[in-house]
Amino acid sequence: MSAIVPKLGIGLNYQESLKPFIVDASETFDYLEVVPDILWHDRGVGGRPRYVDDEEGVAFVRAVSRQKPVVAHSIGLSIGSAHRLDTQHVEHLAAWWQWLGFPWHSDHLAYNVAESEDGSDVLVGVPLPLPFDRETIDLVSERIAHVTERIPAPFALENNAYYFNYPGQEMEEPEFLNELSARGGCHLLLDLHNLYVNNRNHGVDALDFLERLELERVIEIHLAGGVEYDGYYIDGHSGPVPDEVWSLAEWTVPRCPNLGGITFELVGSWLPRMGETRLAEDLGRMREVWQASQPVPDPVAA
Amino acid sequence: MTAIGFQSALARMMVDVEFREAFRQDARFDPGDVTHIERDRLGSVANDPGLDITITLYHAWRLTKVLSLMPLTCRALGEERVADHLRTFWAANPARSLYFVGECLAFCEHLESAIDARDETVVRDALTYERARLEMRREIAHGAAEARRTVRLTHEPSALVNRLTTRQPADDVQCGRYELAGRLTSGNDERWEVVGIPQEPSPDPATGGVEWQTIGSRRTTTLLSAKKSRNSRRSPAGRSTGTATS
Repeated sequence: MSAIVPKLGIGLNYQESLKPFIVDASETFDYLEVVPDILWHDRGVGGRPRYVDDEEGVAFVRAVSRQKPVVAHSIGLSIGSAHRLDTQHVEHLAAWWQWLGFPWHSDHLAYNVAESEDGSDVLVGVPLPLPFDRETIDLVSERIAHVTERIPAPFALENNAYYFNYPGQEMEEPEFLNELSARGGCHLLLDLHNLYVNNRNHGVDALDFLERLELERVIEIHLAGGVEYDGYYIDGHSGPVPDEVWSLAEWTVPRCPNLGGITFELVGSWLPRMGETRLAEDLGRMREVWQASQPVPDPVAA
Repeated sequence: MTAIGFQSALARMMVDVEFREAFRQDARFDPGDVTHIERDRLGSVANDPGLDITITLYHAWRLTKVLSLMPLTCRALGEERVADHLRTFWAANPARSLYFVGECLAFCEHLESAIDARDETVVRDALTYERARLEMRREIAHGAAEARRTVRLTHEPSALVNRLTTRQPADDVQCGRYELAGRLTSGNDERWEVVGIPQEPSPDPATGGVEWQTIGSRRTTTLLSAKKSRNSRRSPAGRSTGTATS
């Protein structure tokens, strides 16, 4: 049976302020993860053209892609928006696949765009959670089908960090993700830091979650650090990976037979506080976790 | 589909304090277009302190745009006044885009109508300069190879930028009338030059009623935030592709 995705190893997310590290410490990671939305300008529905790519950013990503794989992790699809699927976003991402050839791509299982009273879009800027209901699975499955039809690369959806709960949900999150993946035809991007955030803020039993999740559906894992604010723990992508998240990674990675990579997420403005040395150390530890159970990365297969 | 109404109501709670309070105050408040389960969920969320955190993250997202692209204006205004203006602006202008430039340009318009230009000349100058920079960035983002703007300031530009950048008072910066010409390319090369100091109006029709004093040969006054960093021009091949300007 052929692999769902190639075994890429350790990834780092692209941020402009991380460029020096990406260039000078390229040996510390195996692939780059880019958010395409930050490398194009969306002029809005009706704009002609609607999307204008950032020349400098695209040139940098192209140059990196000649040396190592690049995967795409979009933030703007808002796949859970009930009022519409942004098919133009999908088409532009498909155009990116044509030149970048990412071995897989992903987005957030959430929505950040809603319909305002006048019928226009309003952005809330942060991913809002979707109820773990079958209606959500019905809605999102249709959108997944459209995405996978238009972009011939495996597509994964990421579990969300949420700061409030919905009462009366039909399922719990692991079962919801399993069913969505099975019915919708998508894979899972398992963000272990988001799981830790929900553990800290809502008492979610992380190990129980992982034991119930069908880990063969996971093709990518995200790791990150966070911050405490006003009694909550926030998914800030703001620094080193917490010890508890390392424990989750060490438990989970050996149990993911279809895992393509583990990506570290850091907002570039936090790099001065974290430091390049610590960033390299965390990437090194990610590599140890990978090597303990996963094959040697094979970028050629990408 | 009632999910549309549910999502719209939740998004509205993020930006409309009164709407959220309506759910908190009245257990039977019904925004319409939602099922009873969705209504109960909205009521629960309205009373959930996690919504406050989510709203804080939403505000932080919008604030980051302004702080990162209008730092001089923010420093000229001061934290409290920035917060006051943003509260007013956000209440009237829900976010429509992920992007920073459009939001900041809308905020510039808001400030221009809100500040007293006669009294707040430092704020006005910072705003004028930063608005021009944003407009150039928007042109480039829309596909232009190059964008140019000319602005007129009433404080010596280099001193003004340096004072605000280093968080020092700028009220005593030399006053005058200065014209700056800016240019931004799609390669992110931004340069500003002081191109003239207009004199008092003269009757010479050839100059449109104004005489301009050239400052010797054209010199580059590279204002701090216009400099292109060395780091952003490194290529993945490992070689620096340009000279550092700061």
